[in-house]
Amino acid sequence: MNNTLQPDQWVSNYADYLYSYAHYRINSKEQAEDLVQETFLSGYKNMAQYKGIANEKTWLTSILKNKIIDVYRMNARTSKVVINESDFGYFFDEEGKSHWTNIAAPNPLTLSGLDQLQQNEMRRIVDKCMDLLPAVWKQVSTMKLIDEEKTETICKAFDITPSNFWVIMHRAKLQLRDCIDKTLNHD
Amino acid sequence: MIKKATVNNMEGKKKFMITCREATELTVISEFEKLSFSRRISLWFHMLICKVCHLFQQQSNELNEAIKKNEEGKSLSLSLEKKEEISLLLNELRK
Repeated sequence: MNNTLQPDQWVSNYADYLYSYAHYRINSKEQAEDLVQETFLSGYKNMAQYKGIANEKTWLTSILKNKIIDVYRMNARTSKVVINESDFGYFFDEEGKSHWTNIAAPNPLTLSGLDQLQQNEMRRIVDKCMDLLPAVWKQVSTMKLIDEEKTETICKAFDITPSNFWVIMHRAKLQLRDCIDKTLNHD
Repeated sequence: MIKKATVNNMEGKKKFMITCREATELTVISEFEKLSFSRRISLWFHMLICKVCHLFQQQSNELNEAIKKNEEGKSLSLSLEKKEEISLLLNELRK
């Protein structure tokens, strides 16, 4: 297989894709736009390093991915990621034996309609609930659930310990499930 | 080296009976990593006796699928102005 780079086609072929990719992970229009620009420019400057193994799109995406991680690292330097014990209080009764609280416990009827929803309806709900997560939790969950990155890579990007990482994943998952559940049953 | 993931609440304590909070954390971890034998047994036993956590386990899996599918179909458009700007910059470089 012979992959070649065609930079004159980059903007028309990949700008929208890369922009969507960055926007989902950065959540700022301006920053996402700048990252796309930087990706194309650094791709162009580093064309000599392209080995032709990955296709053009994958190659450009991996450049963008590294730039996104750089942004995460920068952010981690200025603001520490913290999770409070009280963040779990809504879900589990911490006074007693850490059982589910009545308000947050899943029941057999909840989420049952998820797979029957129209694609765009489901997208709307999942989007809304992802966006309600604190920004860093959304970024961490995205890296794990969608990009399937190694835990180690994610911990480095956000400057967190594996134990903190799992607390975030756990907490984010509880909140997402709860949010989708409540949205489905109140809409 | 990064040490193996530990459930914060369980650190140091090796106990067979775990709480719902611990069980759900182990559930999330087990979606990505292999748990130690004793944790697997604790989780398995908890799931036998706790219907709510068992449901969480099922729904958590469905959620993973939904989130993955959700991002795949995403398509936003980069503004025309920005596209032109980038094209110009690339042209400059090519000279």
